[in-house]
Amino acid sequence: MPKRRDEKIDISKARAKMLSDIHGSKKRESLFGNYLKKYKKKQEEKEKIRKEKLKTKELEGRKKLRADLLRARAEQKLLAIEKRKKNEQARIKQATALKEQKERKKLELAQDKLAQEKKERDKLKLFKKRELEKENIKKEKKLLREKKLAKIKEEKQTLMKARKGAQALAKKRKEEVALKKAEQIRKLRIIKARRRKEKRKELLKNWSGFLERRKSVRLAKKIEKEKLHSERNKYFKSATDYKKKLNANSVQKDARLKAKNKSKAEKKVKLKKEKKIRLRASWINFIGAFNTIFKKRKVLKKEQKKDQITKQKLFYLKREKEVRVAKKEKQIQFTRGLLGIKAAKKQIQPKKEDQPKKLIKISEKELQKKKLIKKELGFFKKLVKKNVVLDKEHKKQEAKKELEKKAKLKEKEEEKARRIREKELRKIRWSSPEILKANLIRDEVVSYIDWKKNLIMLFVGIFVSIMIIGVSYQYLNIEEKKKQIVNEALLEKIDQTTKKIELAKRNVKLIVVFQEKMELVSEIMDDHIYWNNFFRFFEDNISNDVYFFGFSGDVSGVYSLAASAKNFNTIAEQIKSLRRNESVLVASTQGGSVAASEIGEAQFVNFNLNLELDTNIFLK
Amino acid sequence: MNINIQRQINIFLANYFTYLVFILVIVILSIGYLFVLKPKKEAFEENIGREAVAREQQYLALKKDLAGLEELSLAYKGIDSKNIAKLDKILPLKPDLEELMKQIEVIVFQNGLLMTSMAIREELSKTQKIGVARITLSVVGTDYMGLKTLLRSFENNLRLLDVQTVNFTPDGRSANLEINAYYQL
Repeated sequence: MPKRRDEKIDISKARAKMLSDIHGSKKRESLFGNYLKKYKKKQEEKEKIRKEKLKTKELEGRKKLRADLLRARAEQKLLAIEKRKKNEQARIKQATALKEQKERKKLELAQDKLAQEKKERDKLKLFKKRELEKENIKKEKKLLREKKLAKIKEEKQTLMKARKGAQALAKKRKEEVALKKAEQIRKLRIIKARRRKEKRKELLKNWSGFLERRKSVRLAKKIEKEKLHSERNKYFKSATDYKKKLNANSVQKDARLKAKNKSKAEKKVKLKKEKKIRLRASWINFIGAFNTIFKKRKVLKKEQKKDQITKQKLFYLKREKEVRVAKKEKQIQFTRGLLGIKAAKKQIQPKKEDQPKKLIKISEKELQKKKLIKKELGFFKKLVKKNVVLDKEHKKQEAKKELEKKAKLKEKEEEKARRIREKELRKIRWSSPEILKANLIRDEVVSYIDWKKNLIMLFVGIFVSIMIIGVSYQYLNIEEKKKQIVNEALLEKIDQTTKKIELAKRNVKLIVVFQEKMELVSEIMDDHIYWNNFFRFFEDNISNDVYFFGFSGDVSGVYSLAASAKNFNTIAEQIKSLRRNESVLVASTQGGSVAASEIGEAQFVNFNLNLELDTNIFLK
Repeated sequence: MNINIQRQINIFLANYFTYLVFILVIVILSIGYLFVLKPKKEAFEENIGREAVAREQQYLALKKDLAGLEELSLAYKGIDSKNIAKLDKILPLKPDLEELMKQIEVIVFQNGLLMTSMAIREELSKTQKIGVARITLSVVGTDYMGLKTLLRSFENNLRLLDVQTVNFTPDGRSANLEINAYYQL
């Protein structure tokens, strides 16, 4: 049986051990942290179990003592109360059995607890193993995260690059399209410039051809005019020569007549009367003949209009023929007139029978003169006067012969001139004359208008102008139709593009959402807070002799931190160094107090550090 | 007198008939232009020309729009679908608080810490398009290094999380954090 003292000694030792264990566990807890706390708890539990065991042992001892006492008492009362003893014994036995059972149970429970402790130890071991594994996993995961972050960054960069590339591609496409358009416009301009040049060349060619034609026509006209003038001048010259000759002859005759007819003054009055009568008749005939000639000329002009090339030739030929016919007619008329005069003379002077013949011949010359100039009619009168004055036959015959010779010469000359003219006309190509031939009769320049040509020109002009208007109207119509077609094509294109835009807009909704999200994400990313930057700043800028008791703060950048330093000097140095930093706006302290330390430990100065930092420190 | 006038007229016509014809042609052309071509042209320009110009302008504008849209669609096609999905994870369209709770628990557990409490509530939106969910978190069993790693893991989380306040007591080895999570409104 164990003694009480011994038991007491054991309990104290156990207590001492327990205390030492608790102390040690506390130390361990401080060292190993939370995990050790659990360990301590377990140890405490173990200690509790031990204590319980000890208690149970004490209780057992006490119980045994009580049982011994009871047995002693029972032995004393055995005799007195045997039955009671027996009953009591039985009861005691039962109680002891029950107690034993309880003790056994307790023992079993203790054993179970021990087994549980063992299990817990195993669990701790497993936990440690798991922790190690977890630490390994953490490291791996950290690496994976870092890789992921790097990948995300790379992807972001690729996204940005793709975006930039797309933008660059779009710019390039725009530039290409613009260049193509510029090239097309240049080509169109070149084509237009070529067409203009061609048109100009054609116009210049046409214009030069037109000018050449015009020049040639003008030259032809000038040549014709000059020829006509020359012909006219020739005619005038010949007429004037003839006039002069006639005048010379008439002067000679006048002289002779004056000398011869002085004695016959009386007869003159009669002759004058006869002359007047004759002149009237001849004048009437002459005017009639002249009228016929004029009418024929008009007819000729009409014919000339029909055929201009042959007309001129025919005109000259016909005119000559007509002149001959007119000569003959005039001769006839003149002879008729003279015959009338003769008859009158025969009644007065039957001797003068040969006079009409002479007069006829003279009248022929006069007629020739008349063709050239109209105003030569006075000369005719003179001739008539002079011829009437002629009395003597021989003088008349001489004059007649002379006149005949001259007439023959004239005829020859005329024939020659005609031949020359015909030759010239054959040489000259016909061109439409605007002013036609000058009349040989003086002051009667007849101007012929080429109505056919002019009318053709007029109609052509009107037709061309109407055609131009019509063509331009048609061109406008065609342009209108073209524009309408273009408009319709544009409408179709607009419809197509609107459809395409609608299709594209369906995709664009997603794109817009994506873009918005990108913008929002970039906005948030710009303001993303990195606390590690903040702590890194502290690690870099706080000296090793300064410790913080804790940290509480937000992103505002204003902090008041409880810290401890070796001495006041370190506090001052620390604040100075903080103030030097750019990202520190305010760094101050209100002093410190020396911390109460245990014996043997170093002294520390507790102080409050007030800091105001730039909030950009939280941003990357 | 009449003959003389006629003669003069004849001479005038003979000399200047071509000019007269030319003047007549010009007159006809000018009348044709003024009374036929010009009204026609004006009507044509008013009716069709303006329409054509308006339609051309409309077509060009539409073409420009289409080109812009095509460029956009090309750029969008160039982006990987995974990246687009990631964007949805960075900034989801809903608050998705349950998923957020899960994520935070996983982060805390991965850092070997014990989470004693977590509360999530929706706060006032940051902007018109960004909503904010505030998470208050208390963690036990962390030292300074553990806190740093925890903060780093929050910073580098795919869904954007901004730690707003930090309360760290090294003696108690505990930390209280207030975190902002974002979503698209």
